[in-house]
Amino acid sequence: MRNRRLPFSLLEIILSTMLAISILSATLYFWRWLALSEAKIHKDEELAFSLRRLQSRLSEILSDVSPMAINDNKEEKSIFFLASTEEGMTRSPSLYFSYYNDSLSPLWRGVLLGRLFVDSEKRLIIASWPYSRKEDLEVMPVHLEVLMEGVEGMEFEFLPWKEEQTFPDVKPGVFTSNWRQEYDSLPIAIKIKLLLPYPHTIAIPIPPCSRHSR
Amino acid sequence: MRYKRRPFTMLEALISSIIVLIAIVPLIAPYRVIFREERRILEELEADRVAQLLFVDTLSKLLTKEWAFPPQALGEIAPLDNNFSELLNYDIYVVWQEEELIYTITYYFQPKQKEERSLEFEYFLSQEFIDAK
Repeated sequence: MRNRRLPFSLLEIILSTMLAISILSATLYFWRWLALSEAKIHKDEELAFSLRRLQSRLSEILSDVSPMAINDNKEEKSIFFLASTEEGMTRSPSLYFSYYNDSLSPLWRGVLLGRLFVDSEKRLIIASWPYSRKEDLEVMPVHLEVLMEGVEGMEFEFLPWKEEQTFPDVKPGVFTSNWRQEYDSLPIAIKIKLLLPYPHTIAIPIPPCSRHSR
Repeated sequence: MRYKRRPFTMLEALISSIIVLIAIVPLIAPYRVIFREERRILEELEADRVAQLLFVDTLSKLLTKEWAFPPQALGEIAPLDNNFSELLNYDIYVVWQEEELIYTITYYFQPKQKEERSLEFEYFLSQEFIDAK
Protein backbone atom coordinates (compact mmCIF):
# COMPACT_ATOMS: atom_id res chain seq x y z
CA MET A 1 0.00 0.00 0.00
CA ARG A 2 1.32 3.39 -0.95
CA ASN A 3 1.84 5.97 1.78
CA ARG A 4 0.18 9.05 0.27
CA ARG A 5 0.96 12.52 1.68
CA LEU A 6 -1.83 14.99 2.47
CA PRO A 7 -2.15 17.67 -0.24
CA PHE A 8 -2.21 20.53 2.42
CA SER A 9 0.50 21.55 4.80
CA LEU A 10 -0.30 21.91 8.53
CA LEU A 11 0.20 25.68 8.33
CA GLU A 12 -2.39 25.92 5.54
CA ILE A 13 -4.91 23.91 7.52
CA ILE A 14 -4.38 26.08 10.63
CA LEU A 15 -4.70 29.30 8.62
CA SER A 16 -7.85 28.07 6.84
CA THR A 17 -9.41 27.01 10.15
CA MET A 18 -8.62 30.41 11.70
CA LEU A 19 -10.08 32.16 8.69
CA ALA A 20 -13.25 30.05 8.83
CA ILE A 21 -13.59 30.67 12.58
CA SER A 22 -13.14 34.43 12.03
CA ILE A 23 -15.84 34.52 9.38
CA LEU A 24 -18.20 32.41 11.51
CA SER A 25 -17.55 34.59 14.58
CA ALA A 26 -18.21 37.79 12.63
CA THR A 27 -21.41 36.34 11.19
CA LEU A 28 -22.64 35.12 14.57
CA TYR A 29 -21.78 38.50 16.17
CA PHE A 30 -23.70 40.26 13.43
CA TRP A 31 -26.77 38.04 13.88
CA ARG A 32 -26.66 38.56 17.64
CA TRP A 33 -26.43 42.33 17.17
CA LEU A 34 -29.31 42.12 14.69
CA ALA A 35 -31.50 40.15 17.10
CA LEU A 36 -30.77 42.53 20.01
CA SER A 37 -31.37 45.64 17.89
CA GLU A 38 -34.57 44.15 16.52
CA ALA A 39 -35.81 43.40 20.05
CA LYS A 40 -34.95 46.92 21.26
CA ILE A 41 -36.57 48.64 18.28
CA HIS A 42 -39.63 46.40 18.65
CA LYS A 43 -39.94 47.38 22.32
CA ASP A 44 -39.46 51.10 21.54
CA GLU A 45 -42.02 50.86 18.74
CA GLU A 46 -44.55 49.18 20.99
CA LEU A 47 -44.16 51.98 23.56
CA ALA A 48 -44.24 54.78 20.96
CA PHE A 49 -47.35 53.38 19.26
CA SER A 50 -49.06 52.85 22.63
CA LEU A 51 -48.36 56.47 23.63
CA ARG A 52 -49.56 57.72 20.23
CA ARG A 53 -52.75 55.64 20.48
CA LEU A 54 -53.34 56.85 24.05
CA GLN A 55 -52.77 60.50 23.09
CA SER A 56 -55.09 60.17 20.12
CA ARG A 57 -57.86 58.40 22.06
CA LEU A 58 -57.74 60.85 24.97
CA SER A 59 -57.76 63.83 22.58
CA GLU A 60 -60.81 62.34 20.88
CA ILE A 61 -62.69 61.75 24.15
CA LEU A 62 -61.69 64.96 25.95
CA SER A 63 -62.61 67.11 22.96
CA ASP A 64 -66.20 65.92 23.50
CA VAL A 65 -66.68 66.70 27.19
CA SER A 66 -70.44 67.35 27.35
CA PRO A 67 -72.99 68.30 29.97
CA MET A 68 -75.10 65.54 31.48
CA ALA A 69 -77.99 65.44 33.96
CA ILE A 70 -76.45 65.48 37.43
CA ASN A 71 -79.55 65.32 39.63
CA ASP A 72 -83.25 64.46 39.60
CA ASN A 73 -84.12 68.01 38.53
CA LYS A 74 -82.40 67.24 35.22
CA GLU A 75 -79.93 70.04 35.87
CA GLU A 76 -77.15 69.59 33.34
CA LYS A 77 -73.47 70.18 33.93
CA SER A 78 -70.21 68.91 32.47
CA ILE A 79 -68.54 66.54 34.86
CA PHE A 80 -64.78 66.96 35.12
CA PHE A 81 -62.79 66.39 38.27
CA LEU A 82 -59.90 64.45 39.76
CA ALA A 83 -60.46 61.95 42.57
CA SER A 84 -57.66 60.72 44.78
CA THR A 85 -56.06 57.26 44.60
CA GLU A 86 -58.03 54.43 46.21
CA GLU A 87 -55.42 52.37 48.08
CA GLY A 88 -55.42 48.75 46.90
CA MET A 89 -57.89 49.48 44.09
CA THR A 90 -56.06 51.96 41.88
CA ARG A 91 -52.46 53.01 41.36
CA SER A 92 -53.29 56.57 40.34
CA PRO A 93 -55.81 59.34 40.89
CA SER A 94 -58.94 58.95 38.76
CA LEU A 95 -60.14 61.56 36.30
CA TYR A 96 -63.94 61.60 36.00
CA PHE A 97 -65.57 63.31 33.03
CA SER A 98 -68.79 63.26 31.05
CA TYR A 99 -68.32 62.93 27.29
CA TYR A 100 -70.34 62.41 24.17
CA ASN A 101 -69.85 58.95 22.69
CA ASP A 102 -70.85 58.28 19.11
CA SER A 103 -71.71 54.60 18.98
CA LEU A 104 -73.91 52.33 16.87
CA SER A 105 -75.28 50.76 20.05
CA PRO A 106 -78.21 52.82 21.44
CA LEU A 107 -77.12 51.99 25.00
CA TRP A 108 -73.66 53.47 24.51
CA ARG A 109 -74.63 56.38 22.27
CA GLY A 110 -74.93 59.79 23.89
CA VAL A 111 -73.38 61.29 26.99
CA LEU A 112 -71.46 58.79 29.15
CA LEU A 113 -69.69 59.09 32.44
CA GLY A 114 -66.02 58.21 32.02
CA ARG A 115 -63.26 57.42 34.48
CA LEU A 116 -59.57 57.34 33.56
CA PHE A 117 -57.39 55.47 36.03
CA VAL A 118 -54.64 52.85 36.50
CA ASP A 119 -55.97 49.71 38.17
CA SER A 120 -54.13 47.45 40.62
CA GLU A 121 -52.97 45.26 37.69
CA LYS A 122 -51.11 48.22 36.14
CA ARG A 123 -53.62 48.68 33.32
CA LEU A 124 -54.53 52.19 32.19
CA ILE A 125 -58.28 52.02 31.74
CA ILE A 126 -61.16 54.20 30.67
CA ALA A 127 -64.34 52.92 32.31
CA SER A 128 -67.60 54.26 30.89
CA TRP A 129 -71.15 54.17 32.23
CA PRO A 130 -74.37 55.25 30.47
CA TYR A 131 -75.14 57.26 33.59
CA SER A 132 -77.68 59.55 31.91
CA ARG A 133 -79.89 56.47 31.28
CA LYS A 134 -79.77 55.21 34.86
CA GLU A 135 -83.57 55.44 35.22
CA ASP A 136 -84.12 52.99 32.33
CA LEU A 137 -81.63 50.40 33.56
CA GLU A 138 -81.95 47.86 36.35
CA VAL A 139 -78.25 47.17 36.42
CA MET A 140 -75.74 49.82 35.38
CA PRO A 141 -73.46 48.28 32.73
CA VAL A 142 -69.84 49.31 32.53
CA HIS A 143 -67.54 49.31 29.52
CA LEU A 144 -63.81 48.93 30.19
CA GLU A 145 -61.31 50.05 27.57
CA VAL A 146 -57.72 49.09 28.34
CA LEU A 147 -55.50 51.76 26.75
CA MET A 148 -52.11 50.58 28.00
CA GLU A 149 -50.54 47.89 30.17
CA GLY A 150 -47.54 47.91 32.49
CA VAL A 151 -48.27 51.39 33.89
CA GLU A 152 -46.87 51.86 37.39
CA GLY A 153 -48.67 55.13 38.04
CA MET A 154 -50.01 58.33 36.54
CA GLU A 155 -49.89 62.01 37.49
CA PHE A 156 -52.00 64.83 36.09
CA GLU A 157 -51.32 68.51 35.48
CA PHE A 158 -54.18 70.75 34.40
CA LEU A 159 -53.82 74.08 32.64
CA PRO A 160 -56.55 76.56 33.67
CA TRP A 161 -57.32 79.40 31.26
CA LYS A 162 -60.11 81.33 32.96
CA GLU A 163 -60.17 83.11 36.29
CA GLU A 164 -62.01 81.09 38.95
CA GLN A 165 -63.95 83.64 41.02
CA THR A 166 -64.25 81.44 44.12
CA PHE A 167 -60.82 79.81 43.80
CA PRO A 168 -58.21 82.56 43.51
CA ASP A 169 -55.35 80.06 43.86
CA VAL A 170 -56.24 78.73 40.37
CA LYS A 171 -54.35 81.05 38.05
CA PRO A 172 -54.68 81.07 34.25
CA GLY A 173 -51.58 79.60 32.61
CA VAL A 174 -50.20 78.00 35.78
CA PHE A 175 -50.38 74.22 35.85
CA THR A 176 -52.20 72.71 38.81
CA SER A 177 -52.12 69.11 39.98
CA ASN A 178 -55.80 68.97 40.98
CA TRP A 179 -59.08 69.82 39.30
CA ARG A 180 -62.34 70.17 41.22
CA GLN A 181 -65.90 69.81 40.01
CA GLU A 182 -66.69 73.16 41.65
CA TYR A 183 -64.57 75.03 39.10
CA ASP A 184 -66.60 77.02 36.57
CA SER A 185 -64.64 76.01 33.51
CA LEU A 186 -62.69 73.13 32.00
CA PRO A 187 -58.90 73.25 31.66
CA ILE A 188 -57.51 74.13 28.25
CA ALA A 189 -54.94 71.34 28.36
CA ILE A 190 -53.84 68.37 30.43
CA LYS A 191 -50.41 66.89 30.87
CA ILE A 192 -50.34 63.24 31.90
CA LYS A 193 -47.13 61.78 33.26
CA LEU A 194 -47.09 58.00 32.91
CA LEU A 195 -44.65 55.90 34.92
CA LEU A 196 -43.70 52.99 32.63
CA PRO A 197 -41.64 52.75 34.92
CA TYR A 198 -39.60 55.62 33.39
CA PRO A 199 -41.74 58.76 33.14
CA HIS A 200 -43.24 59.66 29.77
CA THR A 201 -45.39 62.77 29.48
CA ILE A 202 -48.15 63.31 26.97
CA ALA A 203 -50.10 66.53 26.50
CA ILE A 204 -53.74 66.79 25.49
CA PRO A 205 -55.03 70.19 24.32
CA ILE A 206 -58.75 70.61 24.90
CA PRO A 207 -61.04 72.80 22.75
CA PRO A 208 -61.29 75.68 22.05
CA CYS A 209 -57.59 75.22 21.24
CA SER A 210 -56.53 72.02 19.53
CA ARG A 211 -54.76 70.41 16.62
CA HIS A 212 -55.85 71.13 13.10
CA SER A 213 -57.04 67.93 11.49
CA ARG A 214 -56.80 68.97 7.87
CA MET B 1 4.22 8.59 -9.09
CA ARG B 2 5.61 11.54 -7.26
CA TYR B 3 3.18 13.84 -5.41
CA LYS B 4 3.18 17.36 -6.79
CA ARG B 5 2.20 20.07 -4.27
CA ARG B 6 -0.60 22.43 -5.36
CA PRO B 7 0.78 26.01 -5.30
CA PHE B 8 -2.60 27.92 -5.14
CA THR B 9 -4.23 26.51 -1.99
CA MET B 10 -3.96 29.68 0.14
CA LEU B 11 -5.02 31.91 -2.72
CA GLU B 12 -8.06 29.69 -3.24
CA ALA B 13 -8.89 29.89 0.44
CA LEU B 14 -8.61 33.68 0.39
CA ILE B 15 -10.80 33.95 -2.71
CA SER B 16 -13.41 31.71 -1.05
CA SER B 17 -13.37 33.89 2.06
CA ILE B 18 -13.83 37.06 0.01
CA ILE B 19 -16.74 35.46 -1.86
CA VAL B 20 -18.36 34.51 1.46
CA LEU B 21 -17.86 38.08 2.76
CA ILE B 22 -19.36 39.53 -0.41
CA ALA B 23 -22.30 37.14 -0.06
CA ILE B 24 -23.03 38.63 3.40
CA VAL B 25 -23.58 42.12 1.94
CA PRO B 26 -27.03 41.44 0.41
CA LEU B 27 -28.01 39.83 3.72
CA ILE B 28 -27.10 42.99 5.66
CA ALA B 29 -28.36 45.60 3.18
CA PRO B 30 -32.15 45.13 3.66
CA TYR B 31 -31.79 45.14 7.46
CA ARG B 32 -29.96 48.44 7.29
CA VAL B 33 -32.87 49.94 5.32
CA ILE B 34 -35.48 48.33 7.61
CA PHE B 35 -33.73 49.63 10.75
CA ARG B 36 -33.43 53.13 9.30
CA GLU B 37 -37.13 53.15 8.40
CA GLU B 38 -38.14 51.88 11.83
CA ARG B 39 -35.97 54.51 13.51
CA ARG B 40 -37.53 57.19 11.30
CA ILE B 41 -41.04 56.08 12.32
CA LEU B 42 -40.00 56.18 15.99
CA GLU B 43 -38.59 59.70 15.58
CA GLU B 44 -41.78 60.88 13.84
CA LEU B 45 -43.92 59.48 16.66
CA GLU B 46 -41.69 61.20 19.20
CA ALA B 47 -41.92 64.47 17.23
CA ASP B 48 -45.71 64.15 17.31
CA ARG B 49 -45.65 63.80 21.11
CA VAL B 50 -43.21 66.70 21.49
CA ALA B 51 -45.33 68.99 19.25
CA GLN B 52 -48.28 68.52 21.62
CA LEU B 53 -46.07 69.38 24.62
CA LEU B 54 -44.71 72.48 22.84
CA PHE B 55 -48.22 73.68 22.01
CA VAL B 56 -49.42 73.24 25.59
CA ASP B 57 -46.34 75.12 26.89
CA THR B 58 -47.08 77.89 24.38
CA LEU B 59 -50.63 78.17 25.77
CA SER B 60 -49.22 78.39 29.29
CA LYS B 61 -46.73 81.14 28.33
CA LEU B 62 -49.43 83.15 26.57
CA LEU B 63 -51.81 82.87 29.51
CA THR B 64 -49.20 83.93 32.07
CA LYS B 65 -48.18 86.83 29.74
CA GLU B 66 -44.63 85.49 29.68
CA TRP B 67 -45.00 85.80 25.91
CA ALA B 68 -46.71 88.68 24.15
CA PHE B 69 -49.41 87.82 21.65
CA PRO B 70 -48.40 86.97 19.01
CA PRO B 71 -44.83 86.34 20.20
CA GLN B 72 -43.37 86.91 16.73
CA ALA B 73 -44.36 88.55 13.44
CA LEU B 74 -47.19 86.75 11.66
CA GLY B 75 -46.00 84.56 8.81
CA GLU B 76 -42.35 84.65 9.91
CA ILE B 77 -40.59 81.33 10.42
CA ALA B 78 -38.43 81.49 13.54
CA PRO B 79 -36.39 78.87 15.39
CA LEU B 80 -38.07 77.76 18.60
CA ASP B 81 -36.07 77.87 21.80
CA ASN B 82 -36.79 74.50 23.42
CA ASN B 83 -35.25 71.62 25.33
CA PHE B 84 -36.24 68.90 22.87
CA SER B 85 -34.06 69.65 19.83
CA GLU B 86 -30.99 68.18 21.50
CA LEU B 87 -32.82 64.91 22.21
CA LEU B 88 -34.52 64.71 18.84
CA ASN B 89 -33.04 64.46 15.40
CA TYR B 90 -34.85 67.64 14.40
CA ASP B 91 -34.43 71.43 14.55
CA ILE B 92 -37.75 73.01 15.47
CA TYR B 93 -39.16 76.17 13.87
CA VAL B 94 -42.48 77.87 14.46
CA VAL B 95 -44.70 80.13 12.40
CA TRP B 96 -47.78 82.08 13.52
CA GLN B 97 -50.53 82.89 11.07
CA GLU B 98 -53.98 84.37 11.08
CA GLU B 99 -56.77 82.94 8.96
CA GLU B 100 -60.28 84.34 9.21
CA LEU B 101 -59.94 85.44 12.85
CA ILE B 102 -58.39 82.12 13.86
CA TYR B 103 -54.72 82.09 14.78
CA THR B 104 -52.73 79.05 13.80
CA ILE B 105 -49.38 77.90 15.11
CA THR B 106 -47.37 75.54 12.93
CA TYR B 107 -44.35 73.70 14.26
CA TYR B 108 -41.86 72.63 11.60
CA PHE B 109 -39.52 69.80 12.48
CA GLN B 110 -36.53 70.03 10.14
CA PRO B 111 -34.36 66.88 10.22
CA LYS B 112 -30.72 67.40 11.06
CA GLN B 113 -29.89 64.78 8.40
CA LYS B 114 -30.87 65.97 4.95
CA GLU B 115 -32.20 62.65 3.65
CA GLU B 116 -35.02 62.53 6.23
CA ARG B 117 -38.31 64.28 5.57
CA SER B 118 -39.51 67.32 7.48
CA LEU B 119 -42.69 67.27 9.57
CA GLU B 120 -45.25 69.90 10.41
CA PHE B 121 -47.90 70.05 13.11
CA GLU B 122 -50.57 72.72 13.02
CA TYR B 123 -52.68 73.94 15.93
CA PHE B 124 -55.26 76.67 16.21
CA LEU B 125 -56.19 79.20 18.84
CA SER B 126 -59.85 80.11 18.73
CA GLN B 127 -61.15 83.64 19.13
CA GLU B 128 -62.64 82.57 22.48
CA PHE B 129 -59.14 81.85 23.76
CA ILE B 130 -57.70 85.08 22.35
CA ASP B 131 -60.45 87.07 24.05
CA ALA B 132 -60.01 85.30 27.40
CA LYS B 133 -56.24 85.63 27.47
